[in-house]
Amino acid sequence: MADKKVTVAANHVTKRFDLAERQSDKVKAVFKFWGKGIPNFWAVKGVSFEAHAGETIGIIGTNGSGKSTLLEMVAGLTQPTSGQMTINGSTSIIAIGAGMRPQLTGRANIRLKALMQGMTEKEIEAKMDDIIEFSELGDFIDQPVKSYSSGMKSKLGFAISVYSDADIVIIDEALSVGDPTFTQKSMERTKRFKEEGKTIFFVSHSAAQMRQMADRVIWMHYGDIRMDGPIDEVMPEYERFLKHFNRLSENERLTYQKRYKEAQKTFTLEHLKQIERNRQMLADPATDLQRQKENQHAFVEDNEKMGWFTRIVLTIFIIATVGLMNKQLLNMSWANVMAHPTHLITNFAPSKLAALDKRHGRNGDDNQRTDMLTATQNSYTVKEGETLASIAANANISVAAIMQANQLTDETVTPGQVLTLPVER
Amino acid sequence: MKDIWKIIKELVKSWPVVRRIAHYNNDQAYRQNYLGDFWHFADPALQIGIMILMFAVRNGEDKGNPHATGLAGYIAWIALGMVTYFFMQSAMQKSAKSIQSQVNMLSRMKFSLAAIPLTEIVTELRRYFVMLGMAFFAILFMDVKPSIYWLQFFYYFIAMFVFLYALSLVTSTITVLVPDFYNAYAAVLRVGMWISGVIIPVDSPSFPLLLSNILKLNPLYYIIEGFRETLLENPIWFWQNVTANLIFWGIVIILLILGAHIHMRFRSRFMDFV
Repeated sequence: MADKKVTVAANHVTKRFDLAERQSDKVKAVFKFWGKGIPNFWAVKGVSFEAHAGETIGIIGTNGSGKSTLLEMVAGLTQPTSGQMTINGSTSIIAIGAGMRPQLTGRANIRLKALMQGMTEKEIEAKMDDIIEFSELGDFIDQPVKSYSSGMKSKLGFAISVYSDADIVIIDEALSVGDPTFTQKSMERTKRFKEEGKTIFFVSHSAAQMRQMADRVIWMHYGDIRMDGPIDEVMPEYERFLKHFNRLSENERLTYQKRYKEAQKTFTLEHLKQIERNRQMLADPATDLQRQKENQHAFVEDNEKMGWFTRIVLTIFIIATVGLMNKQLLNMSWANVMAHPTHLITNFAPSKLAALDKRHGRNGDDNQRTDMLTATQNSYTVKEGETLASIAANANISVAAIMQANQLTDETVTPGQVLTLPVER
Repeated sequence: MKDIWKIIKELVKSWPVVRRIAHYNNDQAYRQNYLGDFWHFADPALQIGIMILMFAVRNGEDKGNPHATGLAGYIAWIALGMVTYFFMQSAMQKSAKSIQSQVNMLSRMKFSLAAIPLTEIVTELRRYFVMLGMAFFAILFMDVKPSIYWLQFFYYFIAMFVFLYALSLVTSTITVLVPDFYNAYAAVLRVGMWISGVIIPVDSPSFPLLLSNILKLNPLYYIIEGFRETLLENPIWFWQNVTANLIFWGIVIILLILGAHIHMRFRSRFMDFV
C-alpha cells in the first residue's frame, strides 16, 4: 500500500465553527478583536492521515462526529481552520441532492454540472446517454428536479459523479437512499473505480456496505480519529463500542455526549500542540526539537493578513487617487497644483468656489436661461407688416387660440404690440 | 499583490468553463417562455424607448445638452449611454449576488470561486452586444461618420470590463458577509442612472461647477462618456484627459487590491456564512 501514490494527506487538520446566533455575529467572529465572546465548536480537532491511490476508505462514527466536515475538507469545499490538507488530483463529492438547481430539468442539471467540471459540449454529448441510463430515470430526465423523489435525486447525483472522472471520489451517505438494486449497481461501479486507481472515501452507517466496499476504515469520534486501520480491526471495535453505548441508560448517554461536546468547545490549538509535542517526545526524543520547528505552522490558525507591501501600495494608491480627485474637483491645472499645493484645500472656501463658478460661466446662468425660454415660448412682439393670421401660421397655433389667450375682440394687431402665445398641447 | 496574481491565474485557467457556462445561462434564462430571448431585450429596449421619447423628443433639439446636436444626435447620445449603463447595472447587480446565491452549488464542483462573478459579467455580455448593435445602427443612421477614433472602443471596453470585475470582487464578498449590503447596492444602482450622466448631462451649465466635478469622478461616468467620445460627434483621444484617466485607474486598482484581499481572506469561509 505504502508504495502507491499519496493522493490525500492531512496534517493536524482542524475545523472550527463559530456558534454565532446571528449572521452579524458570524462576521464579527472573523475578526479577533470583536469575536471574543462568541463560542466555538471544533468539529475536527487535529486529524492526520494519508490516503493512497486505489484505496477505498470507509469513514464511520456516530452522528456529529465530524465525518462530513472532514470529507468536505478532503473535497476542498471548505478549508481547514489550521493544519494542512494536501490533495493531489481532482475530487468529486456525491451527496444527496447536492448542487442541483431544482427548477432545471435533470438533463439540464447534468449539462450544467458537467460544464462546471470543465467538460466540453462534445464530451457531454458523448456521455449524456450513459449518464441518463445509469440514473435509471427514464422519461423523468426531462422533468424539473424539484419534482424528483429523494431517491431519484441521489441516483441522478450519483450518475453524474460516476462519469465525472475525478481522481478522488467522496460518497457521503448517498448510497443509503437508493433501492437495493441501485445500491448494488453503484457499489459495483465503485469497485471499478478502485481498479482504475482512484481513491474512494465513503461514509455509511451500514456495516454490511462497509464490509463489502472498504478495505480501510477511519473511525471518527467527536472530532478525533479514534481508530484507523484495516476493516477487520476497526469494525469489531466500533461495533463493540456501539453495543456498549446502546446499553447505557438515557442519562448516562447524555452525560457521555455532553462531556465530549464540551471538550470540542473548550479545545484550543495550543492544546493540540501540547498533545502532539508530548506524543513526539515519547516516540523519539532525539528529533523532537527539529520536528517541532517543522510542524510549527501546523498549529497556527491561518489568518491571512494583508502583507506589508500590499498595504503600502494600497495606501499610496488611495492617497494619490484622492489627491487627483481633489485636483479635478477644483479644476486646477498641474502647474497650479505644483505652484500652490495648499490651494488644493483653501480653494474649497465658498468665496473661491463662487469665483470658480463665475469663471466657468455657471453663475446666474440658470435664471437667464429660464428668462430666455419664457421669452421665446410665451410672448411675442408683433413686427411691421404682420397679421394675426401670419403669426398664427408661423407659431403653428390657431388664430382663435391666440385671440382667446390675449382676450382680443378682433383680428387686428399693431406693430410693437406684445402677444402671449399659448402653449399648444 | 499575491492575491491578485493568484486570482488572475485562476481566471485564466477557468476561462473556457466561464464562457461555456455563460453561454448555457443565456440559453436557459428564458427557456420556459414562448417568446424566449425576446424578453431578454424587450425590457431594456422599452426603457430606452421611453427615455428617448421623454427626453430627446419631448425636450426637443439641444436644450440642456451641450453634447448633442439636433434630435438625432440626442437620440444616439441617450441610446449609447443607456445601453452601456444597463449592461453595467445588471452586471454589477448580478455579480454582487453571484457568490451568495451559488456558493452552495459551485463550491461542490471545484470551480474557482473567483470566477463566479466573472461568469455573471460574461453572461450579461450577449445582451449588451445585441443592444449595442441596435444603438450602433442608430448612430450610423444619425449620420455620424466612422473614424479612426472608433478604435478606442476596445480601450473603453477593456476598462469597463476590468472595472466591473474589480468591483464585483468587493461587492460579492461583502454581500456574503453582510447580506444587507446587497439591498443598498441594488437601490443605488437603480437610481445611479440619473447621476451618471446617462440622460442628464452632468456638465449641464445649470449645475454648480463643484457638483458637476463631483459627479464626474464617478467611474461609470468615465466609461459612459468615454464610449460617447469615441463613437459620437467631436471625438477626442482618451489620453487627452490625463487626470480623469489616472483617477479611474486609481479607483480600479484600489478596488482590485481590496477585492482580491477580502475575497481570498474569506473565500474559505463562504460556505460557513451562507
